[in-house]
Amino acid sequence: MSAKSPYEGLPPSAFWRSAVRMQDPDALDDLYKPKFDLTPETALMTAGSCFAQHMHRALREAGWNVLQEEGLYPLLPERFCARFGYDIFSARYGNIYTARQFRQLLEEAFSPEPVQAIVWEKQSRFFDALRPGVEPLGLDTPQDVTRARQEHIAAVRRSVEKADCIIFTLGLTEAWEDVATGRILPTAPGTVAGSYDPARAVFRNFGYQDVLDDMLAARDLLRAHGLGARFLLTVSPVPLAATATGGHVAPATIYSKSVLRAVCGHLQQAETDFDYFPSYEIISTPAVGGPYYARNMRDPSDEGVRAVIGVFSLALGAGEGSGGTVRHEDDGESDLHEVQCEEALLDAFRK
Amino acid sequence: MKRVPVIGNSHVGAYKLAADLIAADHPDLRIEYFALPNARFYRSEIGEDMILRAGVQRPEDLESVIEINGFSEIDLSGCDTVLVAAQAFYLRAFLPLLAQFNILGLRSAGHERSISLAMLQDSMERRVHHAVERLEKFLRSDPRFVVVQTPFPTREIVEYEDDYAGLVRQPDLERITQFFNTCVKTAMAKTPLRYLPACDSLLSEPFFTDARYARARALPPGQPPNGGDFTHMNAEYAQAMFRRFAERFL
Repeated sequence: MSAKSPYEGLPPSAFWRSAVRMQDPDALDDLYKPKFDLTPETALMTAGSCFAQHMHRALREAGWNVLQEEGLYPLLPERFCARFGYDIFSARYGNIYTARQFRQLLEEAFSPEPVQAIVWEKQSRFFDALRPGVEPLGLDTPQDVTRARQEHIAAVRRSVEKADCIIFTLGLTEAWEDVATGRILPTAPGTVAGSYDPARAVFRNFGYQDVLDDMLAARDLLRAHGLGARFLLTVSPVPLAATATGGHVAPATIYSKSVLRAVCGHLQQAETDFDYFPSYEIISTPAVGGPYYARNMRDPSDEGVRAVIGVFSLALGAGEGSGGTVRHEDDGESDLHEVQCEEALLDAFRK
Repeated sequence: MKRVPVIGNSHVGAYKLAADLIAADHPDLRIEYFALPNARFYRSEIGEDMILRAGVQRPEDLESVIEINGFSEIDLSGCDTVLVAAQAFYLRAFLPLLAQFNILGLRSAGHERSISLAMLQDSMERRVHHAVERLEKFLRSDPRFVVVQTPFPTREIVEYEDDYAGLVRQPDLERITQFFNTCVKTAMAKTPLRYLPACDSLLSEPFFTDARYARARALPPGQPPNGGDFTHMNAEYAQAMFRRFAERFL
């Protein structure tokens, strides 16, 4: 009796030819098989690298219940909010590129004592080193930075406490560590603010075990506080803008993404409360008609982001665009008194 | 006789109420009034022929324009100066922020959340710039137009609108108001349009017009005021503003 090939009888999604080259619709169904149920009512917290901003916006517009604990919209038009780091994630943390940074943020949110802010200075303006981009013009004093951070950390904690699921997009393994505090910075000193001093900031390139430990520690921290949020991980398809390894940015990118993807794969298989959503594959490979990059060969295209959300919604049975709203910019000249105004005019012109 | 049209949104109402007073002050002027509710005014169009035609979407809107004015368009050609009353430059859009947040960089208003002064100023500059850009386009970059700032409300408004009630908790409201006014002045100075800010002498305190100018004071006995009666002014206010306008621009 001849042994059958172990590949015989596998579904179309298991074969590149049918799943990718021929784009078999049945194969698409298998691209993402959610481990846990998410519904449009599930409270989602978003965080991560810049690709997570696309996820946040697209999920919100598609009608998912995306938490917002530190937003300003609709008090300001969305473009102004985004310029100052509002409404791009569930709280105003800016981009969180590494698992270590995320873990440290959660540790700070649940710290019994306030954690001292790391303050950078540039031209007599002061910046929160852990999110320097959210105040592009800086603040007047270091005390203002501390106050703003305290409010931010309270918002992070509220968000985590409300979240049923944290959608976290892992972006990089490369990072800079503040030597004095051991905390991981989102940008190298001197990039947005501050100044680079090799004695005060050192380069780190996290390995597989580091990232794995950080994600598990983040999960364990929530559980220690009685919080049950599960993690839906994605890997950002956006390549590194630059590498500090001394090598070429292309292999450095593949290293980073490979480590992150491997950690996600392990967590998805080994841990019940972690799942992985293949936005990385959708954007960067031909899996769903891609790759989907904008003309700068780095940012995902709008079509790609739509494909990501389409697969996500389809897999969860929510349907893209179910109940979501695209925000329209208020022109700021509200018509609150429109009816009263007409009355005022009629009164005046009748006299 | 020099012809001076007064055109604009609901704030033209105060000028219309003051028509006799203004006419007495300026017997050499022939003043015409044409007003549309705010949204409809800025949906209107001034053509190349300098005729301002009411922007209406439904026939009943046109009827209401005619009910107010007696006509649905006004010819602005042949006028040296046109008073446009009034433009708020998006100030209202900032009230909820000022009502609900501390401003880092200024004294605390006692709220739980803060925004930075840098963000407030940056947003104000950008929104004012946008408002002025739209206004300049609407008014065809024509220097004959004198744009008058919307009156600041009177203090009683805090009893009617939460945003104003929150706003008065800002300890540095004067500084915020000054910054806003400077933004407007700077942006308007970059256009060919001319600009008349609200007169300081008509204010009782930073951000608030003296209570005696509220339209609420001119309501018939027994008619309860609403919020709009403290954001719209009376004939006395319009007369004072027109005098200032005439001194500076006629």
